[in-house]
Amino acid sequence: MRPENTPVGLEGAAHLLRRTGFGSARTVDVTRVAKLTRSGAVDHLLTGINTAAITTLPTLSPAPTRAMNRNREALTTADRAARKAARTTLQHEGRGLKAWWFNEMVSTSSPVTERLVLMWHGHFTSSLRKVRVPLLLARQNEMLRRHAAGSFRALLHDVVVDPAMLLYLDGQQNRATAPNENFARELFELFTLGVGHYSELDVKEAARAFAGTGIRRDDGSVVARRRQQDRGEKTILGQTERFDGDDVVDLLLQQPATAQTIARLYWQTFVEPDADEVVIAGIGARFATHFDLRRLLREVLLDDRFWATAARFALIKSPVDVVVGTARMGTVSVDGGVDPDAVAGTPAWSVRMLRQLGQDLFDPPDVRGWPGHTHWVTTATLPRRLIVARTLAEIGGADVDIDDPRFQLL
Amino acid sequence: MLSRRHLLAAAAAAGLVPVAAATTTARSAQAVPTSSKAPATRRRQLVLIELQGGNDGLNTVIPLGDKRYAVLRPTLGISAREALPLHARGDVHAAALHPALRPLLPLWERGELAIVMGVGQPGVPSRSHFRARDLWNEGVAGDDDRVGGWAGAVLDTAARVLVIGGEAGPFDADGIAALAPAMPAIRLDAIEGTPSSALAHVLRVAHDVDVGRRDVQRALGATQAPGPRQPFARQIELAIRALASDLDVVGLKLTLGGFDTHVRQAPQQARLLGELATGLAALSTALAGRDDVVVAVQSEFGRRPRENGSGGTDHGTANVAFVFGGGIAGGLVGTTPSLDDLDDQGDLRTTIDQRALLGALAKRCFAVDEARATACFGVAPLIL
Repeated sequence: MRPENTPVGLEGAAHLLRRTGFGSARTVDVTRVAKLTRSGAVDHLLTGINTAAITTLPTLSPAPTRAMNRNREALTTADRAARKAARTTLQHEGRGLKAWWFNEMVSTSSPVTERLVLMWHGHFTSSLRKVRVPLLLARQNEMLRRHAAGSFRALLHDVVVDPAMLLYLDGQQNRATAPNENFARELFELFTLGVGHYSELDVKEAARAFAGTGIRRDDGSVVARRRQQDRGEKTILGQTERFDGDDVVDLLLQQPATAQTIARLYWQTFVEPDADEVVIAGIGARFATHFDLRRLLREVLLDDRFWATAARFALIKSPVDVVVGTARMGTVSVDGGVDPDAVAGTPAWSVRMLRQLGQDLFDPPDVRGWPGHTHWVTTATLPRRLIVARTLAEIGGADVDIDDPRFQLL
Repeated sequence: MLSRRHLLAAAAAAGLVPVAAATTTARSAQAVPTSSKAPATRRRQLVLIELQGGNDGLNTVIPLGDKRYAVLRPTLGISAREALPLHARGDVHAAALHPALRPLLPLWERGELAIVMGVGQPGVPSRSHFRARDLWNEGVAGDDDRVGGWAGAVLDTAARVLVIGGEAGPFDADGIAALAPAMPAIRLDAIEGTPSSALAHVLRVAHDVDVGRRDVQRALGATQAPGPRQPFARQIELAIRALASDLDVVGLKLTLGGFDTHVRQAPQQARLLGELATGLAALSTALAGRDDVVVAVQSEFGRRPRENGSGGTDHGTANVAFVFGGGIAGGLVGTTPSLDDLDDQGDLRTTIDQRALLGALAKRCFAVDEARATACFGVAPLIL
């Protein structure tokens, strides 16, 4: 019998569950999945994917006008005091938001959902440090969640008008009279095509097409500022028309390189760090016919190479995998506020450990997201990873072998 | 000096390293120049001391010659009577040291202490502790980002740093292994099975930690394991011991915190500057006759010239930095920013781009030439 028609067995089940679920798998789940065939096991996982969080977001303030106002000279003394108070509130809310996501990842019945959302958070990056308003990052997280196993076409159309993204890459400052290319450049270079698949002129022209998208100061919603739009003709990727932002997204989706970038992202997240470009071209070409992210994940997880021995333990756990994965193996408190001096094992403590290990949720180092893989394990972080995991395992009573070097791997 | 490669080879021969790890390490260490191929420019160890919180530069090196100083600092101002003059009175550039810095005077009088004036971020500066620290650590300006610290960008071979206090900062980068005075013994069980490159990486890092731990223990002596927050005097003591040993590190990182003096600044800053000066004096005594070590003292930003209503100062911009050792000539470097010409926030205008200072340190310590330093930092290095 072909391997895809036989049960995946204990080792296969453990590999699938670990790879899609923060590197941890409870024996009871492994035993259950072991009896399924590859497609049975993968479909079981895919069916469980959620489009919304199962826990409730903390209360977050609507975009506070004062805090978003960078023009300090215009402020009176009372304004300054209000601004300072608003900033303190935002910092508190930011810690709350981080602790919320950690809890969601620990509590969820579908860890693969969280790994997908985290993958997209690293790909379509935005940081609290720049955006400053936790509510907007929370909305972005909800948006990524909604599309995590949906249509990439719909996801990309939503990303280009996402308020946190616009603030992060200065999209709201892009006006016909004074174009700001930051967003257009990263969209082409990192989010879709990749270097070598576009020209400088394409970036300039695309920036014109995106001009005139603003953010309302009172509620953080996106508005079209018609007078700042550029309705002229633009030549982008060889086509000339009066393109707007949505047209640019459609042009990008027509390029094979975009589908390949996303195929590579999935391959490197779920299979192995070095992608065979021939394989990526094939997966990308099929993905481009539907842009269905659920089908893409299914294809990647059913690939023979995913199940091959060489792919087992081929990836290095991220700090989230270490911390969340260990917490999920035991019983760890999901209560306890956002006190930065919180005791070990609380969400606030875990979030602080994540930052020390190099993965501050909602605060990736730059627009490339987290460099990941071997970058996670250094002489500074390895001892800390071991200490944090041991602490969590002891508190939660998790049965994990931290001294096995494979504990560091996915 | 015992090179990293020798250590690894010895460890591998002694069967201390798993074979997969030893191979990877040997390959990555191959780029280390051998003595016959050593570059003409010499390398020096960089002792980087971070004053965390934003030290008030205006009360560290006091612009006595600037009439506005007393106006902006009615209660916090240090009088000409207390301050330790560096230049003759009446000189418009007259500068004086905070009285707590008295232990630095011998170093200054020997012409060994360089005081870099008006050093800070170019353009519109960030007054956020975190962003400002990132900019120093990464050696970039404005909205630019670099993955990892600047030392990683200028060093082209695998290296190690000893982090005695605080974070690794500019040394936090790929290819730089961070050692600490107390490294935990890590135990990773040997395993059988398919060796993936990921596994090899983990084992290699575990091996680096292990070798580093033993090297540090040998260099610093097996004294009591120091905790995470070392008093500064203890950090200096460890640094002196490490510098006297053959510990193979390109840099040492020390941190003195507590400079975020929004309230009741005077006693706090005096105490901290006293600790700093005593430590630097001890360091310079220990380094007498050596020119293979450069000591640099930096802080994320200076503080606002006008004191606030709580006997403190708020986040500001340009600051002073101290550098000595490694053949650097002492004296005031650059121009003191004028208190008559503050920016729109009432802060000092940067006269020396901090990246130029970092470029100078890279040149002096890591055998980086002018062109390479300029390319790495985006500005020509400061002449020191």
